[in-house]
Amino acid sequence: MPTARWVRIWHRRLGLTAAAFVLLLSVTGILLNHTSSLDLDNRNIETAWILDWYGIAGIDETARAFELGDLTVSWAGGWLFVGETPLIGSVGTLQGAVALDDLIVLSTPREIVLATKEGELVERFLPVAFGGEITSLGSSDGRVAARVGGKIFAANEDGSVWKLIQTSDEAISWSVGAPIPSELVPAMNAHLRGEGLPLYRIILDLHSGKFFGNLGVWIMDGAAVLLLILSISGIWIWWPRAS
Amino acid sequence: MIRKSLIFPLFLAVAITVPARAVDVFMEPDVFLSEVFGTQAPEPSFLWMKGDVKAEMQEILGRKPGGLRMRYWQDSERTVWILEEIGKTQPITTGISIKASAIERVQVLIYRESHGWEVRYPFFTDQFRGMTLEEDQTLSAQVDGISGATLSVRALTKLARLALRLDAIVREET
Repeated sequence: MPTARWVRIWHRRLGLTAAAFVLLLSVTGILLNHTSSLDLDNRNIETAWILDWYGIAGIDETARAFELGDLTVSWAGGWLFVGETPLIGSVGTLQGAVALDDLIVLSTPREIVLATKEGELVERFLPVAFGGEITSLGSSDGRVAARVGGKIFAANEDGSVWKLIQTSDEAISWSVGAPIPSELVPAMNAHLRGEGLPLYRIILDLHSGKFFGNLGVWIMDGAAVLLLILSISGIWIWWPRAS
Repeated sequence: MIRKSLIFPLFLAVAITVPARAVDVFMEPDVFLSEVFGTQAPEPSFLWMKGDVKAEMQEILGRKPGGLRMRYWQDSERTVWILEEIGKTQPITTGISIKASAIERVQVLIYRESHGWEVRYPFFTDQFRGMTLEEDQTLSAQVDGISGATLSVRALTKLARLALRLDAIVREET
């Protein structure tokens, strides 16, 4: 009978799909039922890819550092660091760094950041008139210079006011990025990742589907509907034999 | 049969994706300054964030402001501020000009959030025009919100209050 065959085929296909969800829901459900006895709240996960998935990124391949004499300034995970000290967050990639007498001048693609050598922020600003993204920062004769597209801008003595200058690219000593020095990695990672994520949070998000974002919640809703369909199709397949 | 059975589960697995985040530059800061001043913008001035200034900023923003100084642009009539405040997770860069202690113009310059970008449009920013700061540091008129952009609206309202207060501090000092 064509209808019965069709129902059996789809019952099998949907059953295979639902199996993954049933396994996931059962295992995570049992674990959540024993949160206290398993101490899930106090077990922190520091696995890199899970923290990455939650947007809690540590140092990755995009991180970079610039050496300024005995001082290192670094960028990782949207944060600027002076030595091990976090300076500011929510900033674009560090494009260059130059040390003045009392200050250090840093640049991201759109911002100039001025800080003390002790790691205190003086000012961050969007340099007007640049009209594009900063690609490099360097120095020439004690003045800081920035490359913006094909143009070069130079700052006054304290890095606060910038003007377009006519000079050759070779006249500037451009700062060059390097990997993060290994001795700074633990402190920087500790700042970027905090104490990790409680295992309870991860299991709960797997159970609800939130682990996979908003779409995951919808997929879990879909799994519930799938189980309803399987119940109905299972009864339908069983019914003729029972009667 | 096994392959056909796997098509549906595989489709679901592939459907799980992570949305990308974009940075929208609606107006370059120098263009905003040129439009406000009509000619080339004056050199920036600096407001040093001493204890009381910092405390007032913290009260308006609800967080400790970073940095030791802030830059602004000033002529005989107005002060102009380019300020940032986080909407949900990312900073919104906004240009605000103040003339005669009232807001002359609010312009969203750079927007980095995935939602709430409606605050860039004149139908929202124009309502700030003419607003002043009351004694209790609130705006002189109600800001109409945008459904789905609550945090961005809140951020821009804070920046409007901050710019008015900073303008008052600068004028008190000079």
